[in-house]
Amino acid sequence: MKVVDARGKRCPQPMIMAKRLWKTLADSEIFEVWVDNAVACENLNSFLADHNASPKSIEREGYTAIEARKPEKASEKPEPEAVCAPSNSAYTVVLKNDKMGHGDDALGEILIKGYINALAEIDKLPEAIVLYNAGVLLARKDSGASEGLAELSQKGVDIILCGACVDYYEIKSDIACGRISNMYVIAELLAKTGHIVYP
Amino acid sequence: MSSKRYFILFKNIRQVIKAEKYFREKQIACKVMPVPSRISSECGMCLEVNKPANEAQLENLRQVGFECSCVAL
Repeated sequence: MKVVDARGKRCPQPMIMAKRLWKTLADSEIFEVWVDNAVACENLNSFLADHNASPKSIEREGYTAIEARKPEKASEKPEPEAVCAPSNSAYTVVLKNDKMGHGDDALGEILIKGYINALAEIDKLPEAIVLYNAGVLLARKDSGASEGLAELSQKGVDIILCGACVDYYEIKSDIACGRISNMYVIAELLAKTGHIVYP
Repeated sequence: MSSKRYFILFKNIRQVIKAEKYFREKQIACKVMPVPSRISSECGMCLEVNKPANEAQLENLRQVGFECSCVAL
């Protein structure tokens, strides 16, 4: 029986380890994940139940063994990414305008640039930044925000631009960073993200 | 190579807005940043530049109406 020993690992490590194991399992294969904290235990039980793996928690000395069986036809559901407490969960930033907040436009423009440049320096980066409607204007070469977006991209943040919006504003040749995508991709991303930040 | 960062601080946010536009027109590279919390705990913006602004450059900015100073961190 395959065993993942995630004792001493903090969230989300046990979940990441369990997901790696999950991919290697054959249909109907029984396995165990060992954890020693309640949050990881709860998250794993939730993940495994969602995937019809019938998890069963067995209390052992100093840790919990979660025994489960991969079903014959494993669920093809997307794996939940938001597996930890909200403060640790993955998040996506949505820039729906080229300004921050309502009020004076010039102030809003300087604030959004400051936000993007500050975002590139914080520890917990978003998984992705989605830009739509006038938000795509921030990805232009001369926007004053594109350098910050490029820096975020270099750090692994997926910068996604709404293709219809890029087309509408006729800025395709001016785009400095990010990948142009469509509303299906954006809808899927927003549906699976832990939470969304609208600055 | 110095790892210092250089921030130009202005009297208020209105001046930051004007200065950012002015820098872009003059093609001076700058980045809008929140004022580092080591300098001020208030919510303010400033411009980060690649090189320290010398007194002559600051004087030029003052002559076009900006009240500013340069801080290295």
